[in-house]
Amino acid sequence: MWKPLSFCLFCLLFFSTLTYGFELIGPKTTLLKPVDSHSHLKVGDKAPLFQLPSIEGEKVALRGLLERSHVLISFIPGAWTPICSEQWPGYNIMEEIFRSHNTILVGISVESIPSLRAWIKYLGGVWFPVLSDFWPHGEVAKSYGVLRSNGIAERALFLVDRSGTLRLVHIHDINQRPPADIILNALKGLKE
Amino acid sequence: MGIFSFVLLFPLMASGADEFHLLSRISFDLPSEKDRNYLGVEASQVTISDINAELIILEVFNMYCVHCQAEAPRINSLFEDVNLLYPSGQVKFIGFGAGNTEMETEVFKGKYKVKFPMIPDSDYRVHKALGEPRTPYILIFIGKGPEVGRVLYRKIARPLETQEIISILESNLRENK
Repeated sequence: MWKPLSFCLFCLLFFSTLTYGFELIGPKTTLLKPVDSHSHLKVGDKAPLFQLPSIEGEKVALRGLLERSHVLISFIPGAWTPICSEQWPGYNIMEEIFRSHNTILVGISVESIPSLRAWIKYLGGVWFPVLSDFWPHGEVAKSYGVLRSNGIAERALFLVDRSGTLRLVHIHDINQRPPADIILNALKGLKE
Repeated sequence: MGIFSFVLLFPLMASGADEFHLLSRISFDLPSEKDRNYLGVEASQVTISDINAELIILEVFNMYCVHCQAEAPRINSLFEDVNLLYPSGQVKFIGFGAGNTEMETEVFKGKYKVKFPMIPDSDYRVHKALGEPRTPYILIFIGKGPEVGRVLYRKIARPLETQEIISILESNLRENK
């Protein structure tokens, strides 16, 4: 009778010690300030133009993209982080939806090209251009009003129609994944 | 310290508990008539215990999960194989999109042309009832009879063990005959 009881007691003490140890040495998961910047941009404004290097080695200009289609810009805070590593793979299965709305998705991060390239390779690749806003650091993010005070970008979405006008300005809680509904509803609102 | 133990052990306790009865308390909408016909239910708001099947294969997925995306074609193949083996509908499939909205669930279903019902689990109720497993997660349990709710298989499908699942279906449906 005492054997099972002793075993349970041992397990309880063992796991308590283990979890207490993790509390002491493990990294603390702390939430960041949900939104740290105030974008001056609003729906109806002209989108700031930019040209950035992609991880494929080419220069990508917003003006050039707008000649062909509407553009959805997705700023993310950082590669290799749990939420960003889900957000873009989610968009990766939405290619047909974007194409059916004559919209190209563009991903922007303030990280360097080697870091972004390695991360995208780790994710298995994406169909949309991934641009590095590393240097001058966060210049494009800043022009959209989404550069946080610690140098990373907000988790933000901007939909630019072919005339260069902003149709969606959405800055999401950096700690959460924005529902795809935000994009899908904005795409539905576009008219050719 | 006791609280720390409870926090660590809770997922293990939940996975060892009777998932079926936890799931049976969660109702979900089935707006599609096609889905209602497939699952053999009449009401548009049902629980897992309303599904008319001898065995139920439940998948927990997440549209944003690369593993779920990678396994989706294999799960579709399993669905086709099972329908060929059991054409009278003894085995039913149902998927729950953990943390996914209705639109996100539809994106996933449309992308991979999933033919079985996929239900949004936007508030993670189903996911939590199963002990918050990593995805894609496959659970097989008995859907009717004296052993209703008994879990036959529960695993993270990375990768999906198609042959093992088919064997489980075969042995259990044979036993029930």
